[in-house]
Amino acid sequence: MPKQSPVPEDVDRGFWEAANEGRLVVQNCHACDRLQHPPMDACAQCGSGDNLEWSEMSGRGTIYTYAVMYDNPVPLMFDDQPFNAAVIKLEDDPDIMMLSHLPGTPVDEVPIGAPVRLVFEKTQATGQMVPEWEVVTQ
Amino acid sequence: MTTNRFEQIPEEWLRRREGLGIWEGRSKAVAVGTGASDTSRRWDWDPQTSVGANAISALRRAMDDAGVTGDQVDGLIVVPDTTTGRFAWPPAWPEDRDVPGDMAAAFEMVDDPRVGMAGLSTEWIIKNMPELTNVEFAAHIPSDTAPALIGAVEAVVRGLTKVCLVVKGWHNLAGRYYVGQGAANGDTIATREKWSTGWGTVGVYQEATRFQRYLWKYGKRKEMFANFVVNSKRNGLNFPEGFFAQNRPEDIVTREDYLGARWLAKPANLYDADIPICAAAAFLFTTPERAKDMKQKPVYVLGHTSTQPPARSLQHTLEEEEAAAASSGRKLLEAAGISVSDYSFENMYDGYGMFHAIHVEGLGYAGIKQGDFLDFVENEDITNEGPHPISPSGGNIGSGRTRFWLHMDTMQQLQGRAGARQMTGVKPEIGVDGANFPQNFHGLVWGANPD
Repeated sequence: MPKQSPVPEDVDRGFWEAANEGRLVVQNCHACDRLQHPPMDACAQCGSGDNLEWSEMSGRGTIYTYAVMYDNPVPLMFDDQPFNAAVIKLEDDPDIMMLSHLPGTPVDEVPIGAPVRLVFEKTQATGQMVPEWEVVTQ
Repeated sequence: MTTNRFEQIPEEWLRRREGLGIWEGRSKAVAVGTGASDTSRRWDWDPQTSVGANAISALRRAMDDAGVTGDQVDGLIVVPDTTTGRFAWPPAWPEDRDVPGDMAAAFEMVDDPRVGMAGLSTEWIIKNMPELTNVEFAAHIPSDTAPALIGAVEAVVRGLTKVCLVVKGWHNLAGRYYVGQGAANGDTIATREKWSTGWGTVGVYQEATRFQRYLWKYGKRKEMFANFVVNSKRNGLNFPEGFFAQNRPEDIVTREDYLGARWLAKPANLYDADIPICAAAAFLFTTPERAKDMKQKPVYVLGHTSTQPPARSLQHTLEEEEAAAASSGRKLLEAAGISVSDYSFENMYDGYGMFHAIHVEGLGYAGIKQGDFLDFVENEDITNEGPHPISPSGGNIGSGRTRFWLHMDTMQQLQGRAGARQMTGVKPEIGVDGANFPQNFHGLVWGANPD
């Protein structure tokens, strides 16, 4: 489904550049050995911005929870309502979460706890790729 | 002339940690008077219904309620934030009106033109309430009523003020905020909102996902929440100061209405959310000694706490929210030096409704543990006539988005003057309330007596 194109900014440029290369990266503080997402200017634990780097993720996760959006604020998505908006937890670190429309999964048929795999979708305005997640069928 | 001025609540006044023991200010400050402005759905651009006018109305009603005159007030706490949502400034003024001009003609305005229309300040209030001639302590406490009440209580306990007013107002301008505004508008998205709004999520979404997780985790059904909402709506219609009692007294919500309501972010529907309104409320605090010659029975503040853990990632999880609520529950009991069975009633935050479940489970009120709330509200008598009232104020769901009805009701219940809402199945002796989200929470324990 259509999405707004994210505009990369200094704090998250590495994330979006990697997405355009088909890779999922998450900010890591190598001093704390701690991932954090969304990206920030400094580590939320030690407060330093000097030790942040981008770590590549496996692209595997699970569905933590979801809601079905009937009244979303983005006009670009009005025609696709209702749609799934799921919270994905990464296998690499279940504390790290991302959102997903779960392409291919019908509304109201979201299996909480099910494994998902990473895919990328191209957004229309700028061509920026964004991460999405599909349920892994056995 | 004010001699003590704060722009935020001093960190050392807050009780964030567990293990602090009984609060040293226990029963050394009391609430006596409260008052609310009239309510409306949206501002009609009349200066006399502006958030500034509403704040003045609420403050004067609170003073009258307590039997206090303006010159006897020496403390003033104002919550400067008054928005019910996200609005551009300046708004689209009506074509045939000069609203800023009308405001300037009706009130003494300050340098920031928004104040009085889309914000409040101590300076604006003092300029427009000439009866407040002796304010020596003044503070802006951001965000909400609950932290402002804690600020007032601590200021009284610390001797900074003997008669302190607190005011919180809400403005609600024309239009449907969030939808198609700001980051949601256009075909690109910047700022941190790209991680949330970029997926078409807003407002109720996060709590809806936690509600979904809750239903899955504990094997419950959404329908089990209906009695809570119906009861809250009923209590709201019995709250004369509230929006629905004043403006839509025929708006009775049944179980069938709730189950048939349109979805916002399923499993959250329209009645799980609160309606943004224009309103203001004020509260008057003082010392127990000074309260003796005031008009209303004093309500003692037995304890308070604050809980604001950061989210680990994109949003708080259900488990983070539950842990925050449980911590608040323990800290409130510790501060007040009571046990959970001492609570006669609870008035926890409810906008969105599901927050109430998590708060109550965190308190352990009426023996309700994690995962129990839906069974309790479906099977037990939760009315104000029963032994364990749930949200006797009706909260935001019952009377509109203010986050202050809960505090007004707690006071009125303990003073025995809650009218049609007055609880009859239990003697109101100790009540607990607080707002807003479990993960951004300020709460208080109140007693009809000091012990």
